[in-house]
Amino acid sequence: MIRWLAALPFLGMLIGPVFLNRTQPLVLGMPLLLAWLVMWVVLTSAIIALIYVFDPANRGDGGGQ
Amino acid sequence: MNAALLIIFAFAALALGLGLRAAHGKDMNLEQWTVAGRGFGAIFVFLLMAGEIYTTFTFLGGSGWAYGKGGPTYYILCYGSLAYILSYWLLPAIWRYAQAHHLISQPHYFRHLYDSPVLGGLVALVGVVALIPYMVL
Repeated sequence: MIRWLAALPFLGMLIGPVFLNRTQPLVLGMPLLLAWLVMWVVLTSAIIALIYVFDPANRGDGGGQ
Repeated sequence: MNAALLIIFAFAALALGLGLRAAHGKDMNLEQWTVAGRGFGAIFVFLLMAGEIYTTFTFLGGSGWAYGKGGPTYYILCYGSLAYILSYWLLPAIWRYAQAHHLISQPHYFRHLYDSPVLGGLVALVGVVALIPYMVL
């Protein structure tokens, strides 16, 4: 179940730009689209960390399945 | 011969000297040389992968491209992140398969998995040839 979180960055990075293909408003000095993609790069790390911690395949011997 | 060339050769000689010194008196086989006997820890692999993605393209090609073309270069941010998500499932499976069969390289893997020396040779050839445009472009 938790593994389906991995679909979110694909949605954010591939579908998001269709709706956010603008430069205004600036977010932290970055154009809107760049800010959106940078946010997803950071979120991707967080999501992978979450999946790693809760993935049942990583329980046990520590070496995966 | 200019100064830059001299420095490059000096560092190459230093690296070779250190390598020879480190290997002195140790019996190394091919598996240790290529994949360090599969003994790298998580942090070391993390640093290696980080070093792997910060290529010449990332520093020179990518920034030059962003300067010239602008917005479309945002894809560089995306493809790395998305590729690592796929790697979360792909790489451990490849690692386990390679460990089980004592494989040490990509052509070796394809050759063994599909039981085809021709495919292994083709993968090796493409890998070597693709290095040139990858480093030049």
